[in-house]
Amino acid sequence: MNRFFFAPESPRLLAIVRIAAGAALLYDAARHWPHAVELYSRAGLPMPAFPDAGPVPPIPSMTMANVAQTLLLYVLAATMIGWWTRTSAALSFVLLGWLSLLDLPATLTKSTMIGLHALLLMSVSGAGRAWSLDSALDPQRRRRTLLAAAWPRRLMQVLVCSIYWGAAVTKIRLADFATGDLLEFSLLSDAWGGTRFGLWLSTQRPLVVAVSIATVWFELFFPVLIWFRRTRRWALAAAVVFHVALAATMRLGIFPYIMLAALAAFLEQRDLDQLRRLTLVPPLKGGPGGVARDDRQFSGSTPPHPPLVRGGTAVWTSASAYVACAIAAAFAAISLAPEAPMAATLEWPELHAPDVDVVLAEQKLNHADYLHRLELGSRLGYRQVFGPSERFAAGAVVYALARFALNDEPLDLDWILLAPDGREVARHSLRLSPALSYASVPFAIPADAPLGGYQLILQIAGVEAARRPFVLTATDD
Amino acid sequence: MHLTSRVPAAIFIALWLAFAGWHFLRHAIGDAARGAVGYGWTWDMYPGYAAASSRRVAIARTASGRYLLLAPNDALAFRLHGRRGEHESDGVPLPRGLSRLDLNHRLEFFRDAAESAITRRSAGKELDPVTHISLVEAYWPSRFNLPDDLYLAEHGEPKPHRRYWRVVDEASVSANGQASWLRADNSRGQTPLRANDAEQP
Repeated sequence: MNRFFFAPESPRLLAIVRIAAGAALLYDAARHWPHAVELYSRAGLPMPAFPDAGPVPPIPSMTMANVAQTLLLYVLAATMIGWWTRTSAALSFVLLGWLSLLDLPATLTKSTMIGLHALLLMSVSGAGRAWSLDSALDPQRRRRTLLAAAWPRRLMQVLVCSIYWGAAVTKIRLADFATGDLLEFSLLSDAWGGTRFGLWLSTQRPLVVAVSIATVWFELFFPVLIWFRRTRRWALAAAVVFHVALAATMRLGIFPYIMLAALAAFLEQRDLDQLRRLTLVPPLKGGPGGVARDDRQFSGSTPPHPPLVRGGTAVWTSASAYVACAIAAAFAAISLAPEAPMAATLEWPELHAPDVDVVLAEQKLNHADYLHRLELGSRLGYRQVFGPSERFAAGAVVYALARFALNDEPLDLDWILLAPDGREVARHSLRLSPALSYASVPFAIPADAPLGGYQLILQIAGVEAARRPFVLTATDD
Repeated sequence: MHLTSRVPAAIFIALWLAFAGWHFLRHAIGDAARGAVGYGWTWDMYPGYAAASSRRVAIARTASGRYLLLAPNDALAFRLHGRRGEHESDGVPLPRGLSRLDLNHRLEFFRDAAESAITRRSAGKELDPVTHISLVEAYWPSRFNLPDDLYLAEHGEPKPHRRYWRVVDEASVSANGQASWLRADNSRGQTPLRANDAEQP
């Protein structure tokens, strides 16, 4: 445990997290910057996240909201490039935490929370000791590289594992996950789903079910397999594939990217060594405090206290430049940032009365819109049918399963089976409670039923909502 | 003492692990903590889903009987997947993309947006004051979000371009611009469009 948390290690490991997470958070903050007044200031419309759970953070004026958001961009950029890294990360944590609590819909997301965890850990780590402006300005950089303690990176690893297990627990407790409904409707969502590829995937039921189950397996087993040498790289590769697939199928903002950044915490020095052989990245400097090629060399040793970077002029110059840039950013925010649209400039479009009458009148749904999906199968499971859906053998049982949506009133359902000659040969009627989303009925086909093309029709309140054809054959092919 | 010395670091690690473990346990048994701390330590992404998509708008009726589109407006310009100023036409215009009113369905946000618009309008000393507000929501089945070609391939028919409306809340507005909301504030205005998971008996 002592070695697990306190062994000195290459600062490049956390530097990768710093650069990647910083870039993702910087992009997200830049996206919100033009709307700072609307999202965070008294002149706009802040929507605090937890008004009933403790004090609401102070809501700034229009000017201060612009200044705060601009300073956030500045300190995130400084974190990313590793300039006064701990200070920048700490300031980023404070500013992002404050602003996100003021805007629940657009700013306070799980991506933001992951970013806040990363910033907090970076503020107490040596993430700025490699690949950074801090290291470039270190007057002793040619002689040595300061190492970093392992524990911030270890806590980042624990964070990633807890995210996956938390997500797995959430899915397992939701009955509609294993049926694929959670994924299907998430892909169909116009808020967080809906890339072209994702929408196509939503129409492929077997794939949706397989991906749903694979997702929860990944989330359960990654936190275990990542800790074993033999499976570590495979688990890491699977995680990268998972998040790339998320980015390709769903519009989740920076979530896939912030997770990829957090996953970089699982890289080890041997991984960087292997990459270095493929690239031209130089090894860390040797000498006192120099890094070992293998962290096994640090077993049981007390890591040296890294001296603070000294060299008065360099430090004070850097600090002065940092503060000056922050002040310049604040002034730029005041002079350049968008202002709140004032009352006189707001327009309220006039609406046509007939259009409003339509909107305000009580509306009945088209019956077909109550039905989301109708499936046939030869076996019925929990909210799923299995087996061929288009061919059945005489004597088999045909299960019809309907998935409903938007049913906020009782529905009168009629399931009608038409023979090849068009005659109605079977009918089931039931009244579906609005509390239910599924309905299924079995049709037992007699062994001597005429072969050929059958039609199964689902009517809602006497109106046909869906029709599924199938062929009845003599043998079970 | 520098924070990265051993004792403070050990305390930080212990607290971190304690927070992570405690909130994971609470989440696992279904009693996730509320508030900012709970949100920051509970990883419950996608705890549910909606079977429909929706857009929210606030409509005002003035003393002269005119109808005005109160919100979203220029003061609610943030959009997800759409640009400010673009509107879907056909009847009451809907903003293209999702405003913050659509990203979170808390009723108080919707009310605040309407009241804020009333306040701004009153500040301009309008001669035709607002007397009634209707908070309405356009909704449609999620499968209508499929592109036309995918919908045709999946359902065997051209995609219908239907949407429905329902009234979320209403308010009468007094002469001094005070809104009296009709719906009891006993929920966060979540629309009953979320899929339920009860079984057929």
